Amino acid sequence: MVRSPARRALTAYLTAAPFVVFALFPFAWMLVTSLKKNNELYDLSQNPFLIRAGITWEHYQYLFAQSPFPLWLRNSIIVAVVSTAASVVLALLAAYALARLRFRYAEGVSTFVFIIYLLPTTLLFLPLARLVSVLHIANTLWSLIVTYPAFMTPFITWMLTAYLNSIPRDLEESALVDGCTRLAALRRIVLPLARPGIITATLFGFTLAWGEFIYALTFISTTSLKTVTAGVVVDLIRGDVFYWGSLMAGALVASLPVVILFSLFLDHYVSGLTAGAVKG
Amino acid sequence: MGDDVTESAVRRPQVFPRRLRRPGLGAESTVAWGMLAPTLLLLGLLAVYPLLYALYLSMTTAQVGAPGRFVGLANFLRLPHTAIFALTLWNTVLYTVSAVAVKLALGLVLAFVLAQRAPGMKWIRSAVLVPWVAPISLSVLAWTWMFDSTFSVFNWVLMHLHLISGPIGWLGTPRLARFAVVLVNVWSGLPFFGITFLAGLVTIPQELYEAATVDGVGALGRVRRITLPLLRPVIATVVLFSVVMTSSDFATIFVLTHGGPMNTTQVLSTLAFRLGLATGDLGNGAAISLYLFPALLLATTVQARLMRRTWQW
Amino acid sequence: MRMTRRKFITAAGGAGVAATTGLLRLPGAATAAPATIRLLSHSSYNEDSDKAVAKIGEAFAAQHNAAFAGEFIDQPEVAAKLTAEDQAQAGHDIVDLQDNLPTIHKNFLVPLDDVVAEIEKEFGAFYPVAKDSGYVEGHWLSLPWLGNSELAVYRSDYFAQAGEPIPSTWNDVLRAAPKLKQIGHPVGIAISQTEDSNAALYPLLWAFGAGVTDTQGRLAIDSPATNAALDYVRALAAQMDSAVYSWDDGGNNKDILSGHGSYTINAPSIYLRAKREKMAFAGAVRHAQPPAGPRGRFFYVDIHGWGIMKFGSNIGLAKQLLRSMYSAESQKVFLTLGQGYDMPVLPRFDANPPYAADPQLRPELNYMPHAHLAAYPAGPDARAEKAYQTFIIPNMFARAAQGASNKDAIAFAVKALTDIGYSAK
Repeated sequence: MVRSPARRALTAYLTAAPFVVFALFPFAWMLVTSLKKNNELYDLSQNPFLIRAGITWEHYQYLFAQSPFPLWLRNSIIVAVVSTAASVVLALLAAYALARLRFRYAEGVSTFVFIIYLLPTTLLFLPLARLVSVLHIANTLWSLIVTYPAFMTPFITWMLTAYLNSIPRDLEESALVDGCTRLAALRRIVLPLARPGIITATLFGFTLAWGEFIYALTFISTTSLKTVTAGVVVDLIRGDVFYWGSLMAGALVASLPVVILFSLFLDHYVSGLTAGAVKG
Repeated sequence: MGDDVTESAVRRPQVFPRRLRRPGLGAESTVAWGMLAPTLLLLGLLAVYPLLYALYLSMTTAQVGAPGRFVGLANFLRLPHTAIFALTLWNTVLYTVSAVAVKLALGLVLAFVLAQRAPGMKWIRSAVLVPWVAPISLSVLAWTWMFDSTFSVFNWVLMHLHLISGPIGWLGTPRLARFAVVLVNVWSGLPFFGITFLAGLVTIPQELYEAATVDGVGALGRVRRITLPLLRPVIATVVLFSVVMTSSDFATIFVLTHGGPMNTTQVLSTLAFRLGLATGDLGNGAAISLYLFPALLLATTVQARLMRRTWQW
Repeated sequence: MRMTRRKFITAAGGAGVAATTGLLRLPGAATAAPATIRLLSHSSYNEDSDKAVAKIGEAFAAQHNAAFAGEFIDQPEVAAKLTAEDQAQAGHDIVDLQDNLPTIHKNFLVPLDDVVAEIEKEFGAFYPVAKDSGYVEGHWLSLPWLGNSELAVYRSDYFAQAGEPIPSTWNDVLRAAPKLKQIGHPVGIAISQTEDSNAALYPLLWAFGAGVTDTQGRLAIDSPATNAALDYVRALAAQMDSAVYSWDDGGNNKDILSGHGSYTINAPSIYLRAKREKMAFAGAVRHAQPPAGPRGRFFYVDIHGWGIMKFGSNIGLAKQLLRSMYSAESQKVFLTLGQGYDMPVLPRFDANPPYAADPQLRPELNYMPHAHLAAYPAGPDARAEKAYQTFIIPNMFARAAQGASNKDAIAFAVKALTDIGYSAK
């Protein structure tokens, strides 16, 4: 049963191949479609896997020069960055309290946060549309920046609590004994130690915010204020035949930021998930 | 031996553990509430309040621009007797159960695959994760295009392999359309299962396997007697998470099938959107979106308990 | 909900005050930040139609020290967006209201009686079908803007190849269908959850003497005529690709433009696209009037009009903009860029330049006087919109075509229509 490393690697690649193809094929398809000229793209007699008539950038040009796509990207970045930052700060405070401090109803609060995390956004879009109007932020980026943390904070809190629990308390305890305040201890000692966990949580939060769809679809009306998810689906689709090149280009470009972020930080992510095991 | 192993493995991801006793910190409680206040306020305003408001709406006949009357549970009682809702509820259950089951089975396989050691495995793991991190509403567009009624690449391949003679209407045939939405949901959700299971797998001490091998337990036996029992808490968590997320999925169906054909892929969230927003029937829209809430709440509570027990918080 | 009401009244009042002060402000006064008039519309299949609206809006804005932002979104998303804006009390000043939508959003719309009166005084009365949509409970809540036709679109070369004349009746279509299928270019009519399917199948029902309701709005779908229509569609569907059950609004466009399909029911977008892209077969894409049934020929129209939201902050200005949409100059822009895709809703403008120049668009002449909304033979209401939005009629036909008996298909429709508020009384 002992196999050589080469054979073992070959088995690994062969077994992984179907999953990789399954995962990446739609993206490859986006790429091929986005680079094809229209007359080839919509010609049933052509082999759809090949680009025979030469690569074209016209779909990307349309996207960036003639459509509001760059604005949508900008809006997505603003919304995702601000709401993630806010959520991480809130969640860090909450997670610290839950992981380190002793107070009545601590378990109740944990359960509450956890249950809110599992409250789907599709349950809340109708009433929230009213609420954002009462807050006078309807149809502004604020409507998303304010509402996104409601589903991001619980999750990040939950992740960070787990991570903080895996960090030894000794350093912090001694700092506290030396007269540090809680917040100072949090900032100077816990924060640096928890960095991998925070990166994981941030990454995760950013992904949630970047991909959010139903709130963006419901709360924002103005084309120039849309995020990329709602903008591409609602404003770029004309239902007609000739838009698939730019649609696929848009879907691909909008997927890139999170994909790049994740591949940069994947190790963090996996170790963040297994934090307890590795550290505790 | 099994029980010992379970105990030690289960203590791993220490979510919300018991707090240590620390002397001399009387103000701790104040500090704690101070730190929690912003989050609790936020959740109160943007989650609890809208939820209560949705509950209220669901008990009225509110239409857009007309507040309607309070009718108690009448909407909830009437809905199952309507043709589209009954089908929608069934679709939602079917969609959730089949997608979660497939993700669970394939997720376990994927975790084993990704746990293998080989050069470049890091990249394979990244690649497999991509569908999960890409914005779902946009990546589903690619599937929409691949299932296109005229230009479907699948039809092209099948026709050139002479497996079919004419184009298949993937999204127009109830069974195929249901297959398609489940497939796309599996595609986007599988990485979460695979990677989380992988995170669980790598924490299982290698010695256990070695000991079992020495005892003459075969590969399948090792999976059944060591891996699966040790992964159980992780599996339970992931499955319950996924049940909640899949049953409330919106983007996949909204973009791929709009609920068609003949409402056979309509799910609660898309029907709530269509009735509540497109036709302005807010009362029924809210009732539809809340219909599975009791079940979700139950699932969540079960999960919270499970995690409390296994992870001792 | 009481909150909602109060808020709503305050918001409407506030908007009124804002609009008034806006009007009182002297042009060029230092304090006057230019107001932006926001307009929401569906994105037309004929892209230039969007450009025409933008052009008229911008021209108006330039003359009134204001800015104009026209936003054009995918047609099926408009209805949902309007409710979201009602709920949020924010969004656009001017919105695109199709068919039943003026009556659904009536509480949020500014009456436009004065605007319409001025326009009708200058140019004569709107077509009755336009009034059916825009005139709600004694007030004009929507200024009719255009009608979208549903014509028979066919490939003349394929019909020649199949040795069939151009169909004038549904029976002609059925006779030609197997031959067209045999030469690899089947007939394709959407039987799916999409607006094009509503637009093809409602008039088919009417042509067979059936309908969702009678003239009084009483449920009348369970009729011998419906049975005949179901039998007909079942037979026709057997000669079509199964893809028609999955088509979205672009489905039949793709089918014809890819060179595959030979016949469909659609607005002129397919024809115009083939012409503009100078596709090889563009000359063979032709239009005919929609097919007639045993009860005659029926014309289905989607009326689009402009409404002004009460919560907007530029109500006065928005009204003036709407008024300016009906001037000889604006109409010229609209009709020229509309390329015949958009049908005028004022008989006065039927001397539509594209019609004159292009024989393929002539079937649209004389279309509007006979056209009906989806709610026909009753008037538009919320139930008609729900039936339309949940695609009950296409789904009834889809059932029958995919194996259900007429009885079951009709029973489904009766149940679904009863569920949304229709009754036989």
